[in-house]
Amino acid sequence: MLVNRILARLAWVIIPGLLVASSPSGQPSPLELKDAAGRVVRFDKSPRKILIIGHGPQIIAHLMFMFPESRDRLIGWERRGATGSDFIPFIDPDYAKRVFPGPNPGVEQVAALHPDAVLIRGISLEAKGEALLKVGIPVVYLGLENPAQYRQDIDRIGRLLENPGRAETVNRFYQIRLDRIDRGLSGLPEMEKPSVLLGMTLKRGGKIAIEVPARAWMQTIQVLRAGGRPVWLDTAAISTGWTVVNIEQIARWDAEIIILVIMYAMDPRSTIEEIRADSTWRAMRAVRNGEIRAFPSDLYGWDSPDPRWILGLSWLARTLHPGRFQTVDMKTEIEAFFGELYGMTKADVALKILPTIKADYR
Amino acid sequence: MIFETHRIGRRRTWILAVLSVVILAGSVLLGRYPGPIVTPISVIESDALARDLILHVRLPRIGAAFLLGASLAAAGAVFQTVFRNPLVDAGFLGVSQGAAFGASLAIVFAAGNAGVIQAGAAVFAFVGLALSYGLARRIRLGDEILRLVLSGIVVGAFYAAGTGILKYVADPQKQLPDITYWMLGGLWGITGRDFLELLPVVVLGLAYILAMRWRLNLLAMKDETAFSLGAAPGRERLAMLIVAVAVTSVGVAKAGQVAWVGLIVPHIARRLVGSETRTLLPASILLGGIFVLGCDDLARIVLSGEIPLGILTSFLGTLLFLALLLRKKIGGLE
Amino acid sequence: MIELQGVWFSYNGRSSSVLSDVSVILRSGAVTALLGPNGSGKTTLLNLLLGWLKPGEGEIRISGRTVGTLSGRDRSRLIGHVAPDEPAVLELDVREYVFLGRTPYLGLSGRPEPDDLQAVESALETVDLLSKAGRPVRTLSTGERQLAAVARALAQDPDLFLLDEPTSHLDLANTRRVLRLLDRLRSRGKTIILTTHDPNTASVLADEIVILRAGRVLASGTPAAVMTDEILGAAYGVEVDVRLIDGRPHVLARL
Repeated sequence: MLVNRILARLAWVIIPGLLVASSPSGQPSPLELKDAAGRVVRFDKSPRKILIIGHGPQIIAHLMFMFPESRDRLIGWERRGATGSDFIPFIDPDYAKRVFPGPNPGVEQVAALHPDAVLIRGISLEAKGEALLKVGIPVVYLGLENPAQYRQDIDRIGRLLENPGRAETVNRFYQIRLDRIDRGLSGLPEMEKPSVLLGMTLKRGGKIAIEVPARAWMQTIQVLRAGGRPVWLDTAAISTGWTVVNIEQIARWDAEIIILVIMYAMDPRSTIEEIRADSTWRAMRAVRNGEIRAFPSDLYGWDSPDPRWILGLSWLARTLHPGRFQTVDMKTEIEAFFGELYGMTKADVALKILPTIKADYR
Repeated sequence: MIFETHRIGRRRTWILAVLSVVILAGSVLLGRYPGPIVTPISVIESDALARDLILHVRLPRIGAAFLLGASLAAAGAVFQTVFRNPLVDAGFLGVSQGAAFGASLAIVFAAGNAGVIQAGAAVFAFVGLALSYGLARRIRLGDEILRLVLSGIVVGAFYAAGTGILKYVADPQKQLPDITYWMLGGLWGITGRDFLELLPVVVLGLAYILAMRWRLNLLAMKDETAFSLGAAPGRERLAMLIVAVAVTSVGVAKAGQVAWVGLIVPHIARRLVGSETRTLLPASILLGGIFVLGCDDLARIVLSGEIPLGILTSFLGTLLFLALLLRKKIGGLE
Repeated sequence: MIELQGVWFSYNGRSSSVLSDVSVILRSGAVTALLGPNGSGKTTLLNLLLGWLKPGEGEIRISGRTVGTLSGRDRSRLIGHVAPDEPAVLELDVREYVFLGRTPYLGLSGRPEPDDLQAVESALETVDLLSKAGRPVRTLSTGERQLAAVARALAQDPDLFLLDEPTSHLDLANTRRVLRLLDRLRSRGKTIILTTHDPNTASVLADEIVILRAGRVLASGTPAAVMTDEILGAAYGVEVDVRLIDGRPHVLARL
């Protein structure tokens, strides 16, 4: 009898408590993520009007369009070159509706578009980003400089768009290829790694000098991960910038393989041919042995931190170690990249992408 | 040559001449291949690539560096004397700003074709001079020198603003770094052909300046007084400036902006040999060549990457100048 | 003999003239002072005589030759010019600076003959600057710089000396040195024309005085003739007290 009364009394406490605990809260649970600059960013709900500004905005845009949500939620991005992007018109039926603020838009200009999230590429805080925060516009920083950052940034975008599954898929796409390259290179002794010189041709004095990338940049990382020995690692620039090296230094390094990133205005094939014909360059073993190539690109370079870097890496692995990567077929890779990540058909790829590749990508 | 001070000055100029030969010869043996610093003669005899590099890469570059330094220093001395102002160099009449503007214009609008950049720099340097003169005519204030100074400032500022706008509209990935690099100056791209294009203009220009260096003294006086001594100050001044601008702009067109040489080298030369232009000009020319060549040697051999020449000339130039300023007396030429 | 006939000059067109209707004859071998208040056109007249400026109307002839037709070479051997505020020709030594006066006799390269060196040394001696000849011009006092400029003109050895306010910034001692020097030049047969705004300077040295006011010749003649209370008063627009002392007119200093 006493137990019953106690239980009844307890029930008055417990049952309402259970009811309260199980009912949905008055507001939706907030979205929270940590961005590449180490900041914790909170959203009440998943953003619906996203704008991209800052350096290399089309890199982020190219990444966003791997997610179907972007079509409705991406307002546009800062236009830093002649166009917003040469590639996205192929995959974005609403391209005409996108907004492209001119270079370096001011805070007021950004605010006038009423974004509920602004994406900026970088790992340290920027003045523009800070200014936007002050007017209540959330800012998310994305690194996108190396494979590790890419993995995290793809996750971030997945959380932002509330589609972690897609992020998982995209990351798996990259990871499969990274794993394949690692497997293919397993057991490779250090001595068998060819010495590689990767540089960008210069417009001025390009016959006798090139520029090598910074140590932390994607280009250097690509060479390392593809099983090459970058000869320029000791050179001045560490975290940022291209450094000019003259031909004496190039001769001194005498790399086994030379890969040139050809400036957008120059033609890769004729540039390589000119170099092959030059008597000074011919003295280098890479040129003599025919091991001088142009880094391929389609509408955007495969050497830059654009999402295409995985194509560049696959190509590089094949080029440096053909024996170990005989099964890698670049045409298949290209079709997979644009097909799985952007939903382009093989016919589309053949029509729109392949013709834009000016260098030998096979 | 007659006065005591001239004797000292002449002797020192001869020393500079000997030094020039030494550094020119020595520079041939310096380079990164096979490196890291010195190329022994034995290597030159045995390695065809070394010979090839010396012939096609090092020699043109060394020659160009020397010519560049010589012309910048000569132009600086001319400008400082003509404008009676120790703080000027060839950039004073909007010349170097014009060159920067022309090069930036080519980089942004002409896909940065090397030939177009050089032409643009040279053309706009001259336009700067012409604009300064044209503007000076319309100003009613003071004598010709003051008017030129004022219009030079205006034209230079105008060009600098124009370059700023170009930097703003330039593609930050592709074009802006090009502009920035050009502004820092560098000789890593000099080929034999560049050197041969430089040579006639510089040699002829310097020959003219050397031939007329005595008259330069007159141009430093008041115009009426120079006139009374038989000079045609306006005409002679213009001729001198045109030649000085010509030799400067071809060098700048090929090498980008190399700062401080025109400003500092004549001062250092003045401290060594005196202000009288018959000794000052040859000394400036030799000293300028030695200085820029020395800096360029450092630029291309110290690190595996190239150090921008402008950084070295500014840094070392100001150090040298400071050292000279702090020494109270240099052998009677105080 | 120097003739000016109907000379009219303006810096900027018809609207205003700096000199108008100037007709005078200046004697060779004499000292002529151009006297007048500031802005009366004295320096302009001097520059016209030099040939540096060209008259808008009228003619200027030296020994029968129109000034404008003189070649640079002829002019430089004929006319020497000394002006105030000569820029200290960047760090030149006094000797080097005086040597510039020999330009008319040197070739393009500026190489001196023994004659040239001699002329420089004797010019330096005449102005008593030999002891300082190895120093930069900028280290000299104002008075000494003026003397150096005169020495330069001496080295040039022209027939006609044009001096613009040669004593205006000098103290008593240096003023006297310069005036004595000009006196000696006169006795050597040189023609001297100088501008001054101080009547007493003109009085003590000049054979003839030309008084200018507002670009016109007010009077010309010997000091005794033109330096009167009325003429000077009209020229300067203030009350002037002129006394004759030992036959020479002097303007008394007064408040």
